[in-house]
Amino acid sequence: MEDLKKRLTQPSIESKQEWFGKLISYLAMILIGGLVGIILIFLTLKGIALFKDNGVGVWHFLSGTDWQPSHHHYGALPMIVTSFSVTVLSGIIALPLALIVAIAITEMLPERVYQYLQPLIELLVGIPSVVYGYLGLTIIVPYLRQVFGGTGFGILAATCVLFLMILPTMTSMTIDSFRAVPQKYRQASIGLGATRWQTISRVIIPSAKNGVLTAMVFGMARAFGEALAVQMVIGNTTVIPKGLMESSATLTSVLTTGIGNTVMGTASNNALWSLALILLVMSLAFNLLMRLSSKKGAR
Amino acid sequence: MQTKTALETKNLQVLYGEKHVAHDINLKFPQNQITALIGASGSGKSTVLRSLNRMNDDFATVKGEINFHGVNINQPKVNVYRVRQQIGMVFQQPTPFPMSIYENVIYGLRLTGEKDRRVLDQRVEESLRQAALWDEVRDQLKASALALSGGQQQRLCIARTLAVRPEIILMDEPTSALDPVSTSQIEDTLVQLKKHLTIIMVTHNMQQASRSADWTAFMHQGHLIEFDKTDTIFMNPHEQKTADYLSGKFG
Ligand SMILES: Nc1ncnc2c1ncn2[C@@H]1O[C@H](COP(=O)(O)OP(=O)(O)OP(=O)(O)O)[C@@H](O)[C@H]1O
Ligand SMILES: [Mg+2]
Repeated sequence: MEDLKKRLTQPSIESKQEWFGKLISYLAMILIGGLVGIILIFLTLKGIALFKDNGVGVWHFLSGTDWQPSHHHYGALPMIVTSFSVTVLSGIIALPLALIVAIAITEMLPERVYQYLQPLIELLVGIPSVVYGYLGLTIIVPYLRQVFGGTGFGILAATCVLFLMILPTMTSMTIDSFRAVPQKYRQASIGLGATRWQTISRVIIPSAKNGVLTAMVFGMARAFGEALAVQMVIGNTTVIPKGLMESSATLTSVLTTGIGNTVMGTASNNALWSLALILLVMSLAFNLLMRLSSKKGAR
Repeated sequence: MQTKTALETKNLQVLYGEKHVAHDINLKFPQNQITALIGASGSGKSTVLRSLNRMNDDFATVKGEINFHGVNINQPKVNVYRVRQQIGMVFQQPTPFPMSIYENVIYGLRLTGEKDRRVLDQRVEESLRQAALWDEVRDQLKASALALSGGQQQRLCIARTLAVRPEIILMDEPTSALDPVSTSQIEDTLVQLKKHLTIIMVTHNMQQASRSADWTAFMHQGHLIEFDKTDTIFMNPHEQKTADYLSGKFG
């Protein structure tokens, strides 16, 4: 009896492991949380330096159209407009394609096709963005030049590259959300006399809607943050684009081009940090959107 | 037989690939009656049931005749969507769609293109009343169907099937996921429903078969062993296998 009492109340290997595991995961959480916090604080401090130390107005920065840091013109609007344009355009073009591929794979083609395609799509997701940029530079830009004239560099080229880049991610996530729709919904719908297409449009798409939305926001967030691939094909002139074939520059592409050519602490350098702050705020907004759309999906 | 036949199978055979799961099933399901399909797990009850409204098209090879109003519905040129409107299906697990109660009920009607609000409203009330659910949900027709209890969900699925006014309803263990109270509610509903239509039901619950079914078919390893009035099957079956199964010798 005494022995059993002891064994029940005293710590054992298991309870020690449990305690140790908890300790490690808490430490990891603190580390990650701390890092994120430091990045946020650092970026914010650097980002507002332009307004605090160099006397540039926030509104002037956000609405100005003239970006010439060497001449102390800090209007970021062209980049903001371009970033949003290429992001939204590529997202809008990729969505229907992702939907069609997902519907074909999950609802029409045999399971075997999914098993072959899934690794392929995941491979495409993992390709570094510079490869997509290179494809854009060597294939898309010359092609656009041939068809529309001009240099070929510009918004349209960037949209094409981003579209190619986010399509695998969006498709893969869309497929996942379709596969998450319970099989019994399909059976029940068929049992009520629905055709396959009626089942897809009336039950499956509505059920998967939030997942598809999340996929789209996720893809657009990736497009918004992409620097290298865009920089390779967009032409890099900081003016508000007036057409699809105009060359322009995004927040990220200006950042990557400029950050090496400025000296830390100068106004031109601070202006780049302010661009980065806009990016950060936008990423947080995208994250929030994703949270919202996937939370509704959990119901 | 004294009653009319609602559905008849002639030499029905079902194969999953090479696997022969149902052999030479000859059954005449009497109209406005409840027929129970009983038998051990894996004996092919669900397989036969799903074949009756062509739900097995994608999975299995179904041979033989299924006669409905003098038409063999087991042939390629038959419009399977119409067949399934006439011969509805209720599954083991409640399968409400993630939409409102109202939208769930009229799902089948919408498929046929019905848009008239009055027709839809009227049919929702009619079907929910038939499924004995109206009083419980009349004030929350716009609420999500997923918020209902399991028993209510299953009655909603029955209402959804009824809303297209089928002549026959197939049910695969419709109460096996439910508690005794919901089960007896649904059994009562079925007895009411047979005034309007024919019910074919797979069940593992012997009391349920003897309580609510007029006719019972006993299947064993893909063969139809015996088909007769429920009383006869349970009181004095002709086949030894039936008697053995009912007395728990195997199963
Ligand atoms: N989709 C399928 N593909 C291949 N074999 C199947 C399929 N569905 C059922 N079977 C096989 O067919 C046989 C009969 O199955 P069925 O589901 O009709 O039995 P059941 O009588 O309904 O059993 P239970 O009482 O357990 O539901 C089983 O051996 C089963 O393994
Ligand atoms: Mg079964």
